[in-house]
Amino acid sequence: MSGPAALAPATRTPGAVRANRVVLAVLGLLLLAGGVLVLLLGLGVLGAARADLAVLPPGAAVPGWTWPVVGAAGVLVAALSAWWLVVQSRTDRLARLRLEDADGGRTVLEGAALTRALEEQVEAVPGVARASAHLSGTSAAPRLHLRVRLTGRADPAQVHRTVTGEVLAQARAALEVDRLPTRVELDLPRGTGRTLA
Amino acid sequence: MTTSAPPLPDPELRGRTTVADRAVERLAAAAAAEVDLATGSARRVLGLPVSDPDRPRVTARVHGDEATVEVDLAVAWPAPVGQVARRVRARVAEQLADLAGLRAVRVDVRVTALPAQRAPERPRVR
Repeated sequence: MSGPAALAPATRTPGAVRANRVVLAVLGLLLLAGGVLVLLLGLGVLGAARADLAVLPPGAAVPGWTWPVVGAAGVLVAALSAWWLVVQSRTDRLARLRLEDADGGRTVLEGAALTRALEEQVEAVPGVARASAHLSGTSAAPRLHLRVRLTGRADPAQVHRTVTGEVLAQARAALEVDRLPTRVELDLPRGTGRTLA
Repeated sequence: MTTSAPPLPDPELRGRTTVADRAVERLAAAAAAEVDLATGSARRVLGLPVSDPDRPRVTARVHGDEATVEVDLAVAWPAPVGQVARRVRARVAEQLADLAGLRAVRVDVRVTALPAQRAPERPRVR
């Protein structure tokens, strides 16, 4: 992935994205089918008499099971909606890294410990106003996202070199990994943008 | 006098276990603090430290002559976290065996902070 699309925050899980696509597609098809059916009825395609028929003729006997079924359908729709809502809050942020899980005990590193340390280190780099970090992926293959707000008083390329060279090398050393895929976003303050020629 | 009391759990055993848990917690905390680059981490409430950061926090359970221990600690940045944790685990097990005659069946390590060392090599501009 490259280009501007790669800069969109990748915080939602692929599962949530897939759920959204499926639910929206199903909803769209249902509404389309309902709309087409009502349109055909109204235009009299399914018989002229039906077009003028009331939906519920007054005094018509409704079978006894109608209202329980309507109620159950309502509950089902509510449950599905609640599930869909919960899925939205699922992000791929990694709360803790399991570094070791052996018989003698396990070692867990809180994700916040790592991101706080990284933020402190990046904020100590000259030219950085603020930094925020978060982790995603899995314990075995963590990914790091760094957002760095610059003061505009230092060369962004130099900041980038220091962050990727020194700070990320420290992170790899701390985690004892050879590679730690990282996305670094540099934010230049408004008004001090300059051409990087 | 005439009513029979319900059978109580053996109070002596219960009392002794509680003391042993605490004693083990202190032993383990001291042992973990001996390891290089491992320090305590202050408990945080709403991001503010509210407890003494000098010592690792430990909770322990003792069953007979076996102990399960959980250690919360901080590891100095950028020391290799896994290695420090392994050394803490080994040191805690060793001390519990030596000083309390307990076998540490499980020592879980949770790293809650990675504080930067007070680096003298990065002098402040005066």
